Amino acid sequence: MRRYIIRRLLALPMIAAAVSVITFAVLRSPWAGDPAVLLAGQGASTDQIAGIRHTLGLDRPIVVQFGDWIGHLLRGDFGRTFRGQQPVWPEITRRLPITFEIMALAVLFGTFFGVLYGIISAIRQNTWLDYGLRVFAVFGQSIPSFFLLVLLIVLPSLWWHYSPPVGGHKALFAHPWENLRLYVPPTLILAVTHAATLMRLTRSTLLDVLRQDYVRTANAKGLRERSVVMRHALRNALIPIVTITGGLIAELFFGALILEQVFSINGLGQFFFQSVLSRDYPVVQFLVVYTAGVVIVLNLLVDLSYVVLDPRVRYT
Amino acid sequence: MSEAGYWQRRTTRRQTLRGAALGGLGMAAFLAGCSGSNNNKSKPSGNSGSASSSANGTPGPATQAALPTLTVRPTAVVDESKINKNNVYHDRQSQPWPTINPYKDLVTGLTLGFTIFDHMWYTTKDTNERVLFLATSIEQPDPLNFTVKIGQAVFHDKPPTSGRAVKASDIKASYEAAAQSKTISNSDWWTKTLDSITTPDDSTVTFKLKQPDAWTFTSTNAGSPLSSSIIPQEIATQPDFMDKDLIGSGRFQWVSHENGANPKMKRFDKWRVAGEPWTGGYEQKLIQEQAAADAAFVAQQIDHFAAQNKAEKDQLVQQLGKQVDVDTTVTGAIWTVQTRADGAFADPRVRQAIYLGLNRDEYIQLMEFGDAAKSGPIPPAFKTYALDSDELTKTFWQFDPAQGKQLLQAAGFDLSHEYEIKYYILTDKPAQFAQIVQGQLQKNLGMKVKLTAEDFGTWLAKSLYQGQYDGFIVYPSLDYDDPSSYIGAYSKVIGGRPNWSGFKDDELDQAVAAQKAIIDDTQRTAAIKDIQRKAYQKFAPFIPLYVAYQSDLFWNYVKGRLVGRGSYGLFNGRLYIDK
Repeated sequence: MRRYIIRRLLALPMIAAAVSVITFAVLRSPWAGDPAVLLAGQGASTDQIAGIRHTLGLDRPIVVQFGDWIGHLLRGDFGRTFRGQQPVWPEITRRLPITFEIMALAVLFGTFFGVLYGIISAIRQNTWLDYGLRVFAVFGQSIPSFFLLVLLIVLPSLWWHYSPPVGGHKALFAHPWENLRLYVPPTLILAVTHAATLMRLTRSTLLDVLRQDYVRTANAKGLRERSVVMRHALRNALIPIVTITGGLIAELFFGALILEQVFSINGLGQFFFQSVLSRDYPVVQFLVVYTAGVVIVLNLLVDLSYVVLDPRVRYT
Repeated sequence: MSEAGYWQRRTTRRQTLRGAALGGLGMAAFLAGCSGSNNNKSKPSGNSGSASSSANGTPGPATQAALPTLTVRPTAVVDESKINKNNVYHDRQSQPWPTINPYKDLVTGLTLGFTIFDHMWYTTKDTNERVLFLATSIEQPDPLNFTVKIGQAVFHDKPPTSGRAVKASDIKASYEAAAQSKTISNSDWWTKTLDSITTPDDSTVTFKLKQPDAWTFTSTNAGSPLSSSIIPQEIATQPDFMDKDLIGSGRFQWVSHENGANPKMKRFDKWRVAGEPWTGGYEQKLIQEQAAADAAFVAQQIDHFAAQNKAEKDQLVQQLGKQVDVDTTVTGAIWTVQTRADGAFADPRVRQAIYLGLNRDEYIQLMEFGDAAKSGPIPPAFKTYALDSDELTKTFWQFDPAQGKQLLQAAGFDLSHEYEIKYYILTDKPAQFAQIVQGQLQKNLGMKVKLTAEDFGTWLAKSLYQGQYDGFIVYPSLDYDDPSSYIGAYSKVIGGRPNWSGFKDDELDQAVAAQKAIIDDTQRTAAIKDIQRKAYQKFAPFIPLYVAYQSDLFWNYVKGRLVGRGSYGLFNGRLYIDK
């Protein structure tokens, strides 16, 4: 087990190095556009653009630029943004609480409703409740979340002249009501797709488990249905649920771009998107490497959780 | 529906969303009780007429006669003592700023230039009139020197200035810092025209120029809303200070922001114009999606909403009725078709054929639902410099595809070759525009053209600046505050690069350069009109099509609005919230 973890962790720097080289090269490829031109704006002269390029160090050979970036990265200096010339790390850490809250709420809602409806659907198989929940699942999986998010804005506006609050992030502990009013409706919508996927998965997995001999034995022993389902059946259905949820966490760790865009939340997703549009190399390079690291670590945690969930799983 | 016909639909985004939403929700039977929600469904589309519009009125069909006039709405005469000056004006911020430092980002600087910082003068867009602001006089004894006397003002009461008086040395330092900055101005006035600045005393600033420039005082050059911002000397010499805090002498003081979003400013009580501003503060709220901005306006979370097109404006007017006012102006962004001037397009008859094959009325209807005006090389907002519509109708705006086809034939143009139309995909409108250009070139002139979409960075750096396009490139020009910027495209060299289209004409090149040195307004106006006429005679490869109307909706409690001054309407300190 320890060997397995060490092996996986050792792979982390190698993957990060590969990702950084690829990202660095792709951003500077001839078809990728010139950040100096975008910074200078439409109508700028060649002299102005050359001046900006020099200031940003983009007139140096690519190998020198890469060595310089990696050198600073290893010393914990993530560089300064091209747009705004601000240190990259504080720009990211300022946005992390927003991203974490969106991630936490979306994962919480998606997992809670997905697993709950999956269990209900499985134990009430072929009833109207089951049919209704399956319609919800199909609906949730087939309608993209950006569309639902826009509806969440447009429909209350048309019907009640209401709009979700805009104008800034409110810290959860300082302004709990304002904070939840801002974040709960969109994260509920964002969670719909995840909930729908989990519901279908939970239902099918649980139905398989409920037909196993040991469940029949548990029932025969006279255990209550709740105990059979929650203590015996559900635990064995959790592995695919944890896998899917781990994927969602990894995805949202990077920011929920669509939600942030529609609800004007200035989180990490927005920051990355704007940085890509403006070819802000230091930000894009760092965030891609950061995401790779997060995905690797999360995958490792998901793998390790299998051991806890199923004692039969062993890593060597 | 075919792709070509897609743009002819009159369905707005909200209608689409509403229809799809109701269908989807009905099928899924999730949201019962939605009936009765569309209480405006039976009303006719278009402007209900019930909403009060501005002094300019809501424009009618897309004819030049219906052009919204750029009359300045005078600030209403009101009893100042009855105004609640503590209300805050809320507007939309459509993108977060990368920094609050105005010297590091143009958009940031433009907003702050009108609010936090003071300026010596400004130039109105409609009348090209120089209006003194902090300056009490401007004297120009000869084309190479001018002297500005400034009035009394103080900086905001924060260290390091702590409310001290504004001095001439601050202005000198600000202009010198702007000249050194690489990102805040696209104009070469700062490096090629400005020679030196001296300050004989605390209230006098003398500028020396290297060469005469008739456009010195415009917002593109020394009157830039950003570059001419008056910054304290202590900060101008160390602009990085503005990464953290902003100190100016403008009518608002900086309060806060959140990662470049939701900036807040409050009234500066020692602002040099007594009693102004008539609001307690100015705050922007980050709202990136247009649908979200629409909803926030309806919910009165913001007081102003810039409609993207006529349908959007009409829908809100229909929904909100007399509670909103609409201010309509003409933008200066000219939707342009740029051909090549070399290769197969070197023969002027080919370019003339393209002029004749483009139907401006169709663009105006399909792109703007009729809310637009045809434009010549200089947009109609510049009444003094634009050619009049009678002349344009006989020249630039002629639409005669049959003659166009004959010209192509006479010039031996190869109609079997497939050319490309390059456009950028930063927003959806250029794609829509490119599709209509493609349709018209195929239908009206029989040309084979394909569409090539590019991201903005690539499009700008390679396709436009380096002229890497085979046939056509399409775009809206920038919305300049002075007319000379529009005719710069006729030069052999644009911004240090060879002409983007390969257009090289000695006569036009010299005329464009010469007009800058004509100080006399009448002579310069005549010269600029002459340049436009020559551009038509030579069928310059920049074909101006139209400019859109800009419709700004305000809740009618927003009073004292100033319309028609160009971006300098934002200097209006008498806007107030009457609620």
